Amino acid sequence: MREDDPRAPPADLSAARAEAIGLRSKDAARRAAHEHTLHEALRSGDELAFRSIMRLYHGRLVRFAHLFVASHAVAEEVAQETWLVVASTIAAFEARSSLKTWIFRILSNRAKTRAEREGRFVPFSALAQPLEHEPAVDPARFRAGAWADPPERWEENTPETLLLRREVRVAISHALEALPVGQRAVVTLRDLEGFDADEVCSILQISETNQRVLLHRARAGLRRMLEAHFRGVE
Amino acid sequence: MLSCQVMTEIVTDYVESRISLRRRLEFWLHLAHCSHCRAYLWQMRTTVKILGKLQPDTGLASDVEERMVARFRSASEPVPNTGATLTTRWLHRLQRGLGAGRGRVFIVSVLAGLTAMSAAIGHAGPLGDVVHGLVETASVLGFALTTAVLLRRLAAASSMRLSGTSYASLAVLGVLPLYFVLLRRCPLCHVVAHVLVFHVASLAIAALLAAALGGARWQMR
Repeated sequence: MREDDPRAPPADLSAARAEAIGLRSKDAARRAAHEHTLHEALRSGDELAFRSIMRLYHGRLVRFAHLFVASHAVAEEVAQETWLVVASTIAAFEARSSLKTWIFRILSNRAKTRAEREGRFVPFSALAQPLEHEPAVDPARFRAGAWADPPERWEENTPETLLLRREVRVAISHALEALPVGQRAVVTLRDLEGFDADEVCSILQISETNQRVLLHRARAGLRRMLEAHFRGVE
Repeated sequence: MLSCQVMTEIVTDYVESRISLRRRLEFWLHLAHCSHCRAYLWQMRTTVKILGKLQPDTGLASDVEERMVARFRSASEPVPNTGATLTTRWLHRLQRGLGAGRGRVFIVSVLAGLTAMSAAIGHAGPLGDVVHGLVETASVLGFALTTAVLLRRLAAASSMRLSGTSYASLAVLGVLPLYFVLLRRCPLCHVVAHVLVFHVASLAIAALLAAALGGARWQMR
């Protein structure tokens, strides 16, 4: 019955779309156009498009869900529940936010429900309460406000070459795990997933100021840990 | 003039463009003459770039993918929206939930099971009455199903177009002959209560089911 449905997109077009989904355009207009195409493809029941977004985001959903639930297995379950919701409600999705934001918002709600059931729920808003002042850099490194023990550029200059080193990857994931959950959630969405500030606020249901404070602390903390790592290594 | 220590605290506001123009100018001025703070800003930006390159370490298992795609496929069968009433959309969902093949197998096995039970227990006591009621409900469902299939064939042959609602009405008409057969075999007083309790309810279910299994899907063409 599907074959003779005039609304079903032709197969070659689906393939071209699926290919396009893997590409990340820097141009915002092109991205919006692409998002629109993808959305249309999903609404018209394009399976290739659905497979592509699953392959693209599944690991990312599991990674994010794992911040809130106890085990990897539960995080995987939460991600699967999210896909089931996405699969059955994609037709009702109205594109007021980006597709990825919408998916992450579903995930975030499911993870929250799951964490509540596990009895280890920490409300997102409580995560965001500004704590007592926590300096970005150890005050002992300044004298009268100026650098006494100044930072230096790390020896290898590009993130790519740094990341080729296994110990750097291990160090950064340990550093991420050491962060409090609120900071980790914000920095994961902002810097690992590439969401903008407004999107993060809508996914986590926190205020703009909270988002910025958490981001600042998280980035400062990660920089400190990376610097400590490079100083130890060199 | 900003101190280096203050610089490290407002660097996120600077990067996020959440800073007044005056502060921004001060920030630039400081950077212009302070190589340490330039190095600090470089470290911050490098940290962010490294984070952006971290790939998740789990992939998507192929069995999970197939399961989700199956759900996507059944969910994205287009819901008729040209002139679709609330009833037809609801019916369509019901039909989707049943699944064409599995639904029929399920109904047939329920019918067979109930007939066997009814034969075993007979009309003895309240339990017997309940079983009897279930069997009649089930037989009405079976009858409605047959009517639905026949109607569908007929309409397909004559390329008619029927809405979900008119389909349901036709299915109800199709069920009625069964009632005459049943009514003739029962004493009148018993029949009134019996019909009210079991048949009116089962008639409604039968009509909806018939329409769900035949009408809504077929209207989409």
